[in-house]
Amino acid sequence: MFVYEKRLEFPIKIKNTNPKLASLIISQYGGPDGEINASLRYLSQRYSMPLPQVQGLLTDIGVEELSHLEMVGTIVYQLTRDLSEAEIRQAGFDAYFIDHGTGVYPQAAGGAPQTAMALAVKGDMLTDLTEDMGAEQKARTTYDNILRFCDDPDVIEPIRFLRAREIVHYQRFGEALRIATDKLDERNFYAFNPSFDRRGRTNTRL
Amino acid sequence: MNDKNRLLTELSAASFAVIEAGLYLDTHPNDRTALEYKKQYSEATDRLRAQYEQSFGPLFMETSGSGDCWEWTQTPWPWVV
Repeated sequence: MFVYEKRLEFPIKIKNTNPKLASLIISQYGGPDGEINASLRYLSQRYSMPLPQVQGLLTDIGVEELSHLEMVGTIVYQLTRDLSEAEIRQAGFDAYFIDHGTGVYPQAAGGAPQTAMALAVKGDMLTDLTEDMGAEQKARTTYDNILRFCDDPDVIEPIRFLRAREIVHYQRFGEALRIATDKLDERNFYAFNPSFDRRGRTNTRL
Repeated sequence: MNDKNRLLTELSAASFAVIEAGLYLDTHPNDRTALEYKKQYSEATDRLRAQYEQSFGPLFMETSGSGDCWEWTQTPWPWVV
Protein backbone atom coordinates (compact mmCIF):
# COMPACT_ATOMS: atom_id res chain seq x y z
CA MET A 1 0.00 0.00 0.00
CA PHE A 2 0.97 3.62 -0.23
CA VAL A 3 0.69 6.40 2.33
CA TYR A 4 0.95 10.07 1.38
CA GLU A 5 3.36 12.30 3.27
CA LYS A 6 2.38 15.93 2.88
CA ARG A 7 5.73 17.37 1.76
CA LEU A 8 8.07 17.21 -1.24
CA GLU A 9 11.18 15.05 -1.29
CA PHE A 10 13.15 18.23 -2.04
CA PRO A 11 11.64 21.65 -1.23
CA ILE A 12 10.65 23.79 -4.25
CA LYS A 13 9.86 27.51 -4.16
CA ILE A 14 9.98 29.17 -7.56
CA LYS A 15 9.51 32.96 -7.37
CA ASN A 16 9.25 33.80 -11.10
CA THR A 17 6.92 32.14 -13.60
CA ASN A 18 8.27 30.87 -16.95
CA PRO A 19 5.65 29.07 -19.07
CA LYS A 20 8.12 28.32 -21.88
CA LEU A 21 10.39 26.44 -19.49
CA ALA A 22 7.37 24.64 -17.99
CA SER A 23 6.44 23.36 -21.46
CA LEU A 24 9.91 21.76 -21.70
CA ILE A 25 10.14 20.40 -18.14
CA ILE A 26 6.71 18.74 -18.46
CA SER A 27 8.47 16.01 -20.47
CA GLN A 28 9.80 14.64 -17.19
CA TYR A 29 6.18 14.45 -15.94
CA GLY A 30 4.60 12.53 -18.81
CA GLY A 31 7.21 12.22 -21.55
CA PRO A 32 8.82 8.94 -22.70
CA ASP A 33 11.52 9.03 -20.02
CA GLY A 34 9.46 10.92 -17.45
CA GLU A 35 8.89 10.09 -13.82
CA ILE A 36 5.46 8.45 -14.19
CA ASN A 37 6.85 6.02 -16.74
CA ALA A 38 9.83 5.34 -14.46
CA SER A 39 7.56 4.58 -11.51
CA LEU A 40 5.20 2.41 -13.59
CA ARG A 41 8.13 0.51 -15.10
CA TYR A 42 9.71 -0.46 -11.75
CA LEU A 43 6.52 -1.04 -9.77
CA SER A 44 5.20 -3.25 -12.60
CA GLN A 45 8.42 -5.21 -13.06
CA ARG A 46 8.45 -6.26 -9.39
CA TYR A 47 5.97 -9.09 -9.75
CA SER A 48 8.00 -11.27 -12.09
CA MET A 49 11.38 -10.44 -10.54
CA PRO A 50 12.56 -13.68 -8.93
CA LEU A 51 14.94 -12.25 -6.29
CA PRO A 52 13.38 -10.69 -3.16
CA GLN A 53 16.34 -8.34 -2.86
CA VAL A 54 15.72 -6.96 -6.35
CA GLN A 55 11.95 -6.87 -5.76
CA GLY A 56 12.83 -4.58 -2.85
CA LEU A 57 15.02 -2.31 -4.96
CA LEU A 58 12.32 -2.00 -7.66
CA THR A 59 9.76 -1.14 -4.97
CA ASP A 60 11.94 1.48 -3.29
CA ILE A 61 13.07 3.16 -6.52
CA GLY A 62 9.51 2.95 -7.94
CA VAL A 63 8.23 4.77 -4.86
CA GLU A 64 10.97 7.42 -5.02
CA GLU A 65 9.98 8.06 -8.65
CA LEU A 66 6.47 8.97 -7.45
CA SER A 67 8.05 11.61 -5.21
CA HIS A 68 9.92 12.86 -8.28
CA LEU A 69 6.68 12.96 -10.29
CA GLU A 70 5.28 15.23 -7.58
CA MET A 71 8.39 17.43 -7.72
CA VAL A 72 8.17 17.83 -11.51
CA GLY A 73 4.43 18.56 -11.28
CA THR A 74 5.20 21.19 -8.65
CA ILE A 75 7.85 22.85 -10.84
CA VAL A 76 5.43 22.98 -13.81
CA TYR A 77 2.63 24.31 -11.59
CA GLN A 78 4.79 27.01 -10.01
CA LEU A 79 6.20 28.11 -13.38
CA THR A 80 2.69 28.61 -14.80
CA ARG A 81 0.71 30.09 -11.92
CA ASP A 82 -1.16 33.40 -12.21
CA LEU A 83 -0.40 33.87 -15.92
CA SER A 84 -2.10 36.47 -18.08
CA GLU A 85 -3.31 35.71 -21.62
CA ALA A 86 -0.59 38.02 -22.94
CA GLU A 87 2.13 36.09 -21.08
CA ILE A 88 0.74 32.80 -22.37
CA ARG A 89 0.77 34.06 -25.96
CA GLN A 90 4.21 35.62 -25.67
CA ALA A 91 5.78 32.45 -24.23
CA GLY A 92 4.27 30.18 -26.87
CA PHE A 93 2.34 28.38 -24.13
CA ASP A 94 -0.91 28.91 -26.05
CA ALA A 95 -1.01 25.50 -27.77
CA TYR A 96 -0.75 23.70 -24.42
CA PHE A 97 -3.21 26.13 -22.83
CA ILE A 98 -5.91 25.37 -25.42
CA ASP A 99 -6.16 21.74 -24.25
CA HIS A 100 -5.13 21.93 -20.59
CA GLY A 101 -5.29 25.53 -19.36
CA THR A 102 -2.72 25.80 -16.62
CA GLY A 103 -3.43 22.26 -15.42
CA VAL A 104 -0.57 19.77 -15.27
CA TYR A 105 -1.12 17.09 -17.93
CA PRO A 106 1.23 14.12 -18.47
CA GLN A 107 2.71 14.76 -21.89
CA ALA A 108 6.08 15.05 -23.63
CA ALA A 109 7.67 18.42 -24.47
CA GLY A 110 6.57 17.86 -28.07
CA GLY A 111 2.93 17.43 -26.98
CA ALA A 112 2.53 13.63 -27.26
CA PRO A 113 0.49 12.32 -24.33
CA GLN A 114 2.01 9.91 -21.80
CA THR A 115 2.25 6.40 -23.18
CA ALA A 116 3.25 3.02 -21.77
CA MET A 117 4.73 2.33 -25.22
CA ALA A 118 7.84 4.09 -23.91
CA LEU A 119 8.42 1.59 -21.10
CA ALA A 120 8.93 -2.15 -21.01
CA VAL A 121 8.03 -5.00 -18.68
CA LYS A 122 9.53 -8.05 -20.36
CA GLY A 123 9.16 -10.63 -17.59
CA ASP A 124 12.84 -11.56 -17.82
CA MET A 125 15.21 -10.60 -15.00
CA LEU A 126 18.22 -9.67 -17.15
CA THR A 127 16.18 -7.90 -19.82
CA ASP A 128 14.20 -5.84 -17.29
CA LEU A 129 17.27 -4.77 -15.29
CA THR A 130 19.08 -3.82 -18.49
CA GLU A 131 16.02 -1.77 -19.51
CA ASP A 132 16.11 -0.05 -16.11
CA MET A 133 19.75 0.98 -16.49
CA GLY A 134 18.98 2.41 -19.93
CA ALA A 135 15.90 4.18 -18.58
CA GLU A 136 17.90 5.94 -15.85
CA GLN A 137 20.44 7.13 -18.42
CA LYS A 138 17.69 8.39 -20.74
CA ALA A 139 16.16 10.35 -17.87
CA ARG A 140 19.59 11.72 -16.95
CA THR A 141 20.13 12.91 -20.54
CA THR A 142 16.68 14.55 -20.50
CA TYR A 143 17.59 16.46 -17.31
CA ASP A 144 20.93 17.42 -18.91
CA ASN A 145 18.95 18.84 -21.85
CA ILE A 146 16.50 20.65 -19.56
CA LEU A 147 19.40 22.27 -17.67
CA ARG A 148 20.64 23.78 -20.95
CA PHE A 149 17.49 25.93 -20.99
CA CYS A 150 17.36 26.86 -17.28
CA ASP A 151 18.83 30.04 -15.88
CA ASP A 152 16.71 30.38 -12.74
CA PRO A 153 18.47 28.97 -9.64
CA ASP A 154 15.03 28.21 -8.10
CA VAL A 155 14.51 25.71 -10.96
CA ILE A 156 18.10 24.58 -11.47
CA GLU A 157 18.49 23.30 -7.87
CA PRO A 158 15.61 20.79 -7.86
CA ILE A 159 16.39 19.72 -11.47
CA ARG A 160 20.00 19.03 -10.46
CA PHE A 161 18.75 17.00 -7.51
CA LEU A 162 16.52 14.93 -9.84
CA ARG A 163 19.39 14.45 -12.29
CA ALA A 164 21.67 13.20 -9.50
CA ARG A 165 19.03 10.66 -8.46
CA GLU A 166 19.05 9.16 -11.97
CA ILE A 167 22.77 8.51 -11.61
CA VAL A 168 22.34 6.87 -8.18
CA HIS A 169 19.46 4.70 -9.44
CA TYR A 170 21.58 3.65 -12.44
CA GLN A 171 24.33 2.60 -10.03
CA ARG A 172 21.90 0.59 -7.86
CA PHE A 173 20.37 -1.17 -10.90
CA GLY A 174 23.90 -2.03 -12.08
CA GLU A 175 24.55 -3.65 -8.70
CA ALA A 176 21.22 -5.49 -8.91
CA LEU A 177 22.22 -6.84 -12.34
CA ARG A 178 25.50 -8.09 -10.85
CA ILE A 179 23.63 -9.71 -7.94
CA ALA A 180 21.26 -11.31 -10.48
CA THR A 181 24.02 -12.72 -12.70
CA ASP A 182 25.92 -14.02 -9.62
CA LYS A 183 23.00 -16.37 -9.10
CA LEU A 184 23.00 -17.67 -12.70
CA ASP A 185 25.12 -20.15 -14.63
CA GLU A 186 28.15 -18.02 -15.49
CA ARG A 187 28.89 -20.09 -18.61
CA ASN A 188 25.47 -19.19 -20.02
CA PHE A 189 23.38 -16.49 -18.32
CA TYR A 190 20.66 -17.14 -20.85
CA ALA A 191 20.28 -20.90 -20.27
CA PHE A 192 16.79 -20.21 -18.90
CA ASN A 193 14.57 -17.26 -18.01
CA PRO A 194 14.81 -17.01 -14.21
CA SER A 195 11.60 -14.96 -14.11
CA PHE A 196 9.64 -17.71 -15.87
CA ASP A 197 11.25 -21.15 -15.99
CA ARG A 198 10.69 -23.18 -12.84
CA ARG A 199 13.39 -25.34 -11.27
CA GLY A 200 14.90 -27.76 -13.75
CA ARG A 201 12.95 -26.40 -16.70
CA THR A 202 14.83 -24.76 -19.56
CA ASN A 203 14.02 -23.34 -22.94
CA THR A 204 15.10 -26.27 -25.11
CA ARG A 205 14.97 -24.21 -28.32
CA LEU A 206 17.86 -21.93 -27.33
CA MET B 1 14.25 31.44 5.96
CA ASN B 2 11.45 31.19 8.52
CA ASP B 3 11.20 28.52 11.24
CA LYS B 4 8.83 26.40 9.18
CA ASN B 5 11.07 26.31 6.13
CA ARG B 6 14.18 25.71 8.23
CA LEU B 7 12.59 22.74 9.98
CA LEU B 8 11.22 21.42 6.68
CA THR B 9 14.69 21.62 5.13
CA GLU B 10 16.21 19.74 8.08
CA LEU B 11 13.48 17.10 7.87
CA SER B 12 13.95 16.76 4.10
CA ALA B 13 17.71 16.31 4.51
CA ALA B 14 17.39 13.65 7.24
CA SER B 15 14.62 11.80 5.43
CA PHE B 16 16.60 11.91 2.18
CA ALA B 17 19.58 10.32 3.94
CA VAL B 18 17.23 7.48 4.94
CA ILE B 19 16.02 6.99 1.33
CA GLU B 20 19.57 7.06 -0.01
CA ALA B 21 20.88 4.64 2.63
CA GLY B 22 17.88 2.37 2.11
CA LEU B 23 18.57 2.00 -1.63
CA TYR B 24 22.25 1.36 -0.90
CA LEU B 25 21.33 -1.29 1.68
CA ASP B 26 19.04 -3.00 -0.85
CA THR B 27 22.19 -3.99 -2.75
CA HIS B 28 24.64 -4.01 0.23
CA PRO B 29 22.53 -5.60 3.01
CA ASN B 30 25.50 -6.48 5.24
CA ASP B 31 27.28 -3.14 5.24
CA ARG B 32 27.45 -2.31 8.95
CA THR B 33 28.55 1.29 8.44
CA ALA B 34 25.54 1.88 6.19
CA LEU B 35 23.21 0.18 8.69
CA GLU B 36 24.50 2.47 11.45
CA TYR B 37 24.17 5.54 9.19
CA LYS B 38 20.60 4.61 8.25
CA LYS B 39 19.66 4.05 11.91
CA GLN B 40 21.04 7.44 12.92
CA TYR B 41 19.11 9.28 10.18
CA SER B 42 15.91 7.31 10.83
CA GLU B 43 16.01 8.53 14.42
CA ALA B 44 16.67 12.10 13.30
CA THR B 45 13.79 11.88 10.78
CA ASP B 46 11.36 10.63 13.45
CA ARG B 47 12.37 13.42 15.81
CA LEU B 48 12.13 16.16 13.14
CA ARG B 49 8.79 14.83 11.84
CA ALA B 50 7.28 14.93 15.33
CA GLN B 51 8.66 18.43 15.88
CA TYR B 52 7.30 19.65 12.53
CA GLU B 53 3.86 18.14 13.05
CA GLN B 54 3.60 19.65 16.51
CA SER B 55 4.27 23.18 15.22
CA PHE B 56 2.98 23.22 11.64
CA GLY B 57 0.32 20.56 11.28
CA PRO B 58 0.04 16.92 10.24
CA LEU B 59 2.20 15.35 7.52
CA PHE B 60 0.02 12.23 7.37
CA MET B 61 -3.70 11.64 7.27
CA GLU B 62 -3.09 9.17 10.06
CA THR B 63 -1.74 11.85 12.39
CA SER B 64 -4.58 14.28 11.57
CA GLY B 65 -7.78 14.85 13.49
CA SER B 66 -6.42 14.78 17.01
CA GLY B 67 -7.82 18.28 17.74
CA ASP B 68 -11.25 19.84 17.21
CA CYS B 69 -10.96 20.20 13.43
CA TRP B 70 -9.67 18.30 10.45
CA GLU B 71 -6.27 20.02 10.02
CA TRP B 72 -5.29 17.74 7.11
CA THR B 73 -6.92 20.05 4.55
CA GLN B 74 -6.33 23.30 6.45
CA THR B 75 -2.56 23.57 6.04
CA PRO B 76 -1.17 24.34 2.55
CA TRP B 77 -0.36 21.51 0.14
CA PRO B 78 3.32 21.07 -0.68
CA TRP B 79 3.17 22.38 -4.27
CA VAL B 80 1.69 25.71 -3.13
CA VAL B 81 4.31 28.46 -2.92
